[in-house]
Formats: sequence, C-alpha cells, structure tokens
Amino acid sequence: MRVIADREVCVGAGQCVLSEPRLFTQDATDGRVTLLTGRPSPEWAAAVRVAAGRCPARAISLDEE
Amino acid sequence: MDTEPEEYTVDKEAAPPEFPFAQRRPFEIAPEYGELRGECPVSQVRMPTGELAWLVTRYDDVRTVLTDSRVTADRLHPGYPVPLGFRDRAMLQQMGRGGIMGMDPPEHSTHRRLLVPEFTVQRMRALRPRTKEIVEDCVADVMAATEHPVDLVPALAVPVPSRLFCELLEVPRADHDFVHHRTRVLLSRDVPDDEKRTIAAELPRFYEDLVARKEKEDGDDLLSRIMAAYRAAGMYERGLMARMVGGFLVSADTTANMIPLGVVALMSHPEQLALLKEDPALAANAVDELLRFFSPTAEVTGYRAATADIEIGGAVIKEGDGIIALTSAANRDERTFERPDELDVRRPVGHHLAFGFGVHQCLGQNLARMILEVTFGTLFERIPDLRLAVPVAELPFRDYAVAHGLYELPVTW
Repeated sequence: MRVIADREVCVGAGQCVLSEPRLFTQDATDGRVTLLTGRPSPEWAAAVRVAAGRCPARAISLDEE
Repeated sequence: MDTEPEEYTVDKEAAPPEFPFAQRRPFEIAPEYGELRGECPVSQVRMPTGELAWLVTRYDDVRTVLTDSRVTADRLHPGYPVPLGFRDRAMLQQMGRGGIMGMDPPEHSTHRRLLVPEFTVQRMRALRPRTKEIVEDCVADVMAATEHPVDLVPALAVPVPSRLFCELLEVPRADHDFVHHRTRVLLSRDVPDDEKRTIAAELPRFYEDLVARKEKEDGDDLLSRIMAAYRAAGMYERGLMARMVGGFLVSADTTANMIPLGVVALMSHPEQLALLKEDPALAANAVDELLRFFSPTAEVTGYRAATADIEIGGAVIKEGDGIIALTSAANRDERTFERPDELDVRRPVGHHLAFGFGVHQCLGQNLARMILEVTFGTLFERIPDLRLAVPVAELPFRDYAVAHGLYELPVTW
C-alpha cells in the first residue's frame, strides 16, 4: 500500500494533518504536505481514505497494490 | 446522477425564490434550504440585485462545484453573483477582483504558496500559549465585573481575536484602539450607518500605512515575513499587501462572530457541554461541530461563475451563469451527516465545509480553530456555571452581514 501526496496541487490547508497526524505533516518551510511514511501498513488504509476525502485540493490518494 | 428530473421543469416555470431566505430561528438554517436540497438541489434564485444565480445545496455537489476547474472565483467576471451587502455590480467592480480570493489557478497557486507556510497547523498551535494568556486576561475582566449581566461580545468575542491579530501583525500600540474600534463598529447593530461608512473609508488608508511602515522596518512578524516572501518571489506590491491585511482583519471578525454563537450553543445544550467537560479531548471536534452547525459565513462565500456549461445535480449551469455553493445547506445534508440538525460534539465532522472547499479553502482556518478551542475551553473552565441572562429567543441574532452572529450576549453565573 502506497500513499501518494501531490505537492504540486497541495494548498497547505492542513486537513490531512488534522485528520491523521501520524501519517501527514506540513513542511515547515513551504507549508505543503509531507508524508511521515510513504508505505504504511494496510490497517492505515481507512485513515488515509478519510484524510484524502478531507483534502480540499484532492492532493492525496491511495495505491493499494 | 439524475439527468432531467421533473422538478426542474416545474421549478423553471415558477418564479425563482429570493436569496437569501430569512433565518427564522437562531439555531436553524432557513427550512427552504433543506427543501431545495431534497427536491431541487441545483436551482435558480434571485439575488437582491435582481440577477439570477444557481444555488447548490447538497454536500457532494457543493464540493464538486468548488473543485471544478470550469468555474472562476473572479469577482469581475460578468456572471459572478453580486455578493450580499453590495448594492450593485458597479460597486462590486469598483472594489476590484478581491485579492487572491478572486484569482484562479495557476495564478492563485503562486500566491497561496507564499502564504501557507505562515498558517500551518504547527505554526498555529505554537500560538496557543499566548492566545491562552489573552483569553485568561479577558475572562478575568469578565469575572471582575461588578454589574450583571455581562455582555460577552465586547468583553470576550471582540477583543480576543482582535488583540491576537494586532500582536501577530505587530500593529503599533497606538493603532490597537483603532483596530478594536473598527471591529466593534463593524459588528455592532447600534452604530449608525454613517459611522460604519466613515470607518470603512478609513480602512484602506490604515492598511496601506501599516504596510508602508513595515517596508521600512525589518520585522519578523507574520506580515513582514509574508512581505519578504513576496519580495523574494519578485511579486511584491504594496496594494496587494494592504488588501491582505484587510483580509486578516475580516477573518478576525468572523472568529469574533463565531465565539458568541458557540457559547450560546453550548449553554443551550447542557448535555453537550457536560460531555466536553468530562472529556477535554473532545474540544477540537466540538469546535468543528459548532462550525458545521452554524456555518456563519456561508451566505457570503462560495460564489463562482461558470466558464463552460456544467451539468450538475440534474441541472445544466450555462457558461457565464453565477453560482453559489451554499456550505451551510451542505453542512446540514442528511446524506452526509446523520441527524444533521442536532448538535453532537462527538460526531465525526472533520469533513464539514464551514471553511469552504477547493483551492480557496480558508487560509486561516487553523488559527480560527485554535482561538475558538482556547476561548470555549477557558471560559467554561473559569466560569463553570455560566448561563444566559435572557432567553435564547430574546438574543439579538444577526441573520446576515459579513457573517451570522450575535450583537449582544448577556450572561451571568
């Protein structure tokens, strides 16, 4: 399972950090999304989907392969 | 998605209803929005200027509109709905495009990127201790009052965001009174329109002066850092900075509006307040639930214009038409939130739309969340038996202005 965070479309709203601070943070320099782990174990899938759903810029997606 | 439900044919023949619908009870959004959401989720309404706009009321549709690249946020687009509070389109055009809120990507993205480092969740949380001191200070003054009832609007709701704002931007001491006065006047019912106009006329000059002074200093406050980022990007322009200062001030007002609404809601739902006192870990979620519940800026935000034909919710919005994505209606959508008209501080609510959606989602949302959380927490911790001094029905609610709010909040304990 791979989490994809598109920093090019990220608008730095911080929704992913509020949603799941164990997976996402905002870069201190540019405020954009940074993954704390790119390949979390499968039990995180639901949390990633919630965070992805909250992202106003649709910058987060989940590749379950 | 339905394509041509009969309701729309029927609705097209009826005269479009006038926007906005009156909010008849303080905790309820106008029932018409619920009816539209059920039967005619994308429908035309008549704006106070006489022009028509499409009103979008379902949660999914609102999110779709606000993330659609075929809509523009440009206020100068001829189809952009003239917002409530503007006399006519000429007045809107005179006010200009509206800073970065009126820009579309990719131009918008370039600006937003210069601003977001200052508003991250981490940055805003770092302001918590100082915010707590300001709130404690205001609450101590409330508690020291010799006469009851005490009005929490001037005693708490106005000064908390306004003082924090002044400190963040390092507004010179001498100007603090002007900022406080401005907030009070603009949010007050009893101030005559002339006085409001006088203040409004002084504001652009005040913003410009503040920015001009910052240009000479080499400060490390929020505004100076943003100015430095713009200079480094070769995008510096004093007028734009001045409009941003204005934007910050308006967001201080919306927080000032939300404080009394939240306090009343918690006092009127003692079982919800009890849950919060029992489990302080609910505080952040409670703030989001209160924001969902009131969505105080919904009727003046979410305005767009279609730059192509857009089919949505069974209707076709034509290129050039105005659109209002009504987040307050979306936040009460029963398809998304169970028992949407109930206040429930425990419900999963992080996905509410009170701060908007899409690339324009509120830049200061995490500042607002932090201020609200600290203010509600401190107030009910210091004055646990706080109660309203008048029945809820007698509170002077403001249906719409910059934002829904309360003119006065008399309390006792």
